[in-house]
Amino acid sequence: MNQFIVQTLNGLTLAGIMFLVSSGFTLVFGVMRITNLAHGAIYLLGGYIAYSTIQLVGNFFVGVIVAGLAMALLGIVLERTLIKRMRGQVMAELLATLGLVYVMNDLALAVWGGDPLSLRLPGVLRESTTLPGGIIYPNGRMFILFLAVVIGLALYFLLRRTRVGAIVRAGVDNKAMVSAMGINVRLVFTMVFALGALLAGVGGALGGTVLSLAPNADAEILTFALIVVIVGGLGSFEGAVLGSLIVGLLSNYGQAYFPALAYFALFAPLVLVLLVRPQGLLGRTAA
Amino acid sequence: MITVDDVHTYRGLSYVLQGISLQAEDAQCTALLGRNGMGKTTLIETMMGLLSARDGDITLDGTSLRGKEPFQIAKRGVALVPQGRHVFSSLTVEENLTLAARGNGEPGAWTLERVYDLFPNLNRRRKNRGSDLSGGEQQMLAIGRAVMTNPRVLLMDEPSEGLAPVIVDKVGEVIRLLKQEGLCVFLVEQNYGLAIETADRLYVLAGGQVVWQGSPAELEAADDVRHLHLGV
Ligand SMILES: Nc1ncnc2c1ncn2[C@@H]1O[C@H](COP(=O)(O)OP(=O)(O)OP(=O)(O)O)[C@@H](O)[C@H]1O
Ligand SMILES: [Mg+2]
Repeated sequence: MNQFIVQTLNGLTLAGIMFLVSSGFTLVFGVMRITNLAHGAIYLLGGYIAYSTIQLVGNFFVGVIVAGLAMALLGIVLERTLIKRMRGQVMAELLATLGLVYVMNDLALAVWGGDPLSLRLPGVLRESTTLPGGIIYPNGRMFILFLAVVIGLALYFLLRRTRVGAIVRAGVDNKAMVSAMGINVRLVFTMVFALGALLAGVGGALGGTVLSLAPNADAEILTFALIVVIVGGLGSFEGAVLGSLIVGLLSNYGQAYFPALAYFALFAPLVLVLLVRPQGLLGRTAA
Repeated sequence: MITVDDVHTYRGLSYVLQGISLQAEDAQCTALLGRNGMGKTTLIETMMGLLSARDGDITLDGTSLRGKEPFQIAKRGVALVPQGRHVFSSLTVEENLTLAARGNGEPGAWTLERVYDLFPNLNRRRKNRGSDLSGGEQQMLAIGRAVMTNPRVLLMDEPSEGLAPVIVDKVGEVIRLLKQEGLCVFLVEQNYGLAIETADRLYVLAGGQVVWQGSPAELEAADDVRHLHLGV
């Protein structure tokens, strides 16, 4: 039983990281209709930047913040220079973001090498706490989970309770009408893309404490994010929450209890959802 | 006042507007009538900057809107009530209204309270999502959302489409109120009755061109134009 609780907590931590990555991905898709294949590469670069920042200044939190801001900045530059040019051309967007993956990964390989790195949490977060029932669980994982929940709540507040959030949601409904209301939709696009990149960067920094940062980690996390958003519903924030929980928990149980079937546990919900509810659990059917 | 001067607009390959000129004055309702597919929405979308004209110019109180983005045109004081209403379905009624609310610094400016006074139904449903509203309520919301930007020019694209007669009457009442307040209302309609009752000046569109213009009384008298181009 205790083992099961530990695995559940591990699954929740994984879900937290998946949520950070997939919420940004789904937000960008929902508002801009862009499938950003470079989202995983942004995650990995964010992790690496956090790693180097922590080495340099010796503070984990500074590392997370720098990673997030650096990726937000990268997002602004990418959106303004590259993405903007291909708006509406789905193939061009896919190829351009795929091309970015190669460029970013090669740069990362040149700077950080190919050996797996992982981020070290500070002081007390490296210790463990004994939970009721005698379960010993690492503080760091609890903390990651806690941060993911806090960020999730902040995002929820931003999207549901502020005017900026209302503009973003209105943009998902009808972009032409938003601009006819006097709102500069292009600026909204840039901000949303930057926010997506920020979330990926923070996800990489936090993910780097649990998963390792190495070439290919970007493809892995992108796969997770894709499965999450397909299960939850592409473009839906609530869908990203639900999808992360389902995929995080199932994939962790799979790895822990049926390692031979780990991939089955990962893809089974995907296939099931596609069969029964192709728009995703909380997705809307295309209008 | 908004002026359309020899505007030509394509939709894909089809040459829809073939040199349209017209003018809508302040404190008046100017109506454009025409059968299905004649290009009424194309003209409204060109005026809003959602489609770009191949040639010609549109001026707002003397300044050209050529090459301007829709959001820039909106900020200069043009608001749109689009065909099919297009309220933001995942936003609440109140969010729809406040999304782009802009004051104009004048005492009688449109506020949430004024919109709720005019459309009490919206007040009752202010926490509901746009998608939960009836067609009539959605039309009230689309109008409310547009006036909340305190525009100088209001473009309305078939606001009576698919609505019950009492609600069409309400739309007419609102148009008269907006005129009284000095707004320039440009109304595209297929509902002949609504147009004739509210408009001060009418244009008839056919074959991509303005084929007739005049006052309501003149249109009532022009049997041939009504039969040929409007089917009434
Ligand atoms: N996306 C498009 N691509 C090509 N042609 C289009 C497109 N949308 C509309 N059209 C054509 O352009 C013409 C004008 O359409 P428009 O919507 O402006 O007409 P309308 O007068 O508003 O019609 P309705 O009264 O039905 O609203 C129509 O003949 C239509 O078939
Ligand atoms: Mg139309």
